[in-house]
Amino acid sequence: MAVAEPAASVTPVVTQADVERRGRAFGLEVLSAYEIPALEIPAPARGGPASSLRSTVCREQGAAELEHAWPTEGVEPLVELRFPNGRPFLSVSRHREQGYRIWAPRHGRHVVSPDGREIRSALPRSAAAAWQRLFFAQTLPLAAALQGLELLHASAVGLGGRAIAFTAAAGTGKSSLAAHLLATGATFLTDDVLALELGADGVLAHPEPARASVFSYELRSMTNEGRARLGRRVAAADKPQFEPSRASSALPLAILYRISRSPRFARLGLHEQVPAEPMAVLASSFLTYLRTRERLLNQLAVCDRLTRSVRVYDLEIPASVSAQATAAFVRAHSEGVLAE
Amino acid sequence: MAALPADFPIPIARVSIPEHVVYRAFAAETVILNLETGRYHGLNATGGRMLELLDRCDSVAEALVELAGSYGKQQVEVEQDLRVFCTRLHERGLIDVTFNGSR
Repeated sequence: MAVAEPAASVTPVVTQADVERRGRAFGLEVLSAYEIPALEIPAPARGGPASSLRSTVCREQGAAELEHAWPTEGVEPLVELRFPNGRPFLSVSRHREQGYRIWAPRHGRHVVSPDGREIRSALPRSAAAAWQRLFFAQTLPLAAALQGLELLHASAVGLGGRAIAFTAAAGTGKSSLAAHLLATGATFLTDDVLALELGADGVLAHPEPARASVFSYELRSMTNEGRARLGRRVAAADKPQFEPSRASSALPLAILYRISRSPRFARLGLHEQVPAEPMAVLASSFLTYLRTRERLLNQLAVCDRLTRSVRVYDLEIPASVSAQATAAFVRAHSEGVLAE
Repeated sequence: MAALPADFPIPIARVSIPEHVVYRAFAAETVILNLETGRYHGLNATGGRMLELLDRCDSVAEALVELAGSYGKQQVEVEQDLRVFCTRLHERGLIDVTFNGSR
């Protein structure tokens, strides 16, 4: 059943022909005609691993114009999520020639071209954090995946010039773990979606936009210095958002922790997967609705390289152990692994 | 697609991998990817060995001989396992099975 959409509630904006702003995220160079915060990145450090940056052009369009251009036939619904009360939450559909249409009420609507090189967006007048949330969580990752980046549902930080990633079921605490690692000096890569690509010897992990969501109760357990390392606070919601400084370039992925949290665990535990299990890695894939032949083959290739080049650990966290204590445990372990 | 009967005639059967199916052997397991459905399937080491033999050999009978040899078993001991394996992969659209050149 198709999601019934309310009349367009966004205000048409002036369309700019020229793209004036540049930023980077998910391994893409993002060229935009309007301001997209959190994409600025310092000049890449010398000597960092080479990565091939793809580009995506972002343009604004009025909602009515965007909807009018979207076909009514030949459209395949891919995702239709609703709130418990039945209201639409997120809709993603696909048309072979037009690409992918992403819509979430009060968060805007976007059309991503089939090759991921163009995004046309109707942005709502509501708080910028609302449209940025959808744009960063769904739209840009889709453009990246269409251009050959592989995506994991993971948080990640940089330590000693290498990337450490965490996969887990939603609500397990991977974002909180990353936040506490940031508070102790790690570099931000992502708190939800990790973009990967094949590197010369392994797998490269690209930074996402500089937005880290941290629960208030996690903030309270940090020192003032630790909170300062999260960067400027940019939005207050149930989960306040911060703008941490990001890694200046892609980092080689060195360690992947698969997190499980359960009252069954008596203490923090680590078990290395030797050899690493590919199906477990594939189970953490993000944007699973995207099943083009190219994406699937790339996914398999990245998984292959990852299982050969990355140390994979199952991390067991007792329900009573805090994210802060887990972060200290992980930091000590990962520094030991990286020093080997 | 007609179901592959569990008692299919091994002596005249041949397995091929459809174009929409790829597989890759990892150290831990073998992963089969169905590009039409977007679904991944995992095989343990024994399953991975069976698939590799079925793909490489000219007939299921030849694969059976090699499989039995590689595990130091009699053919009759592994035949049933190979039959079940073939029917399960076939019902998931992961292999084609032909008999004397006909599907």
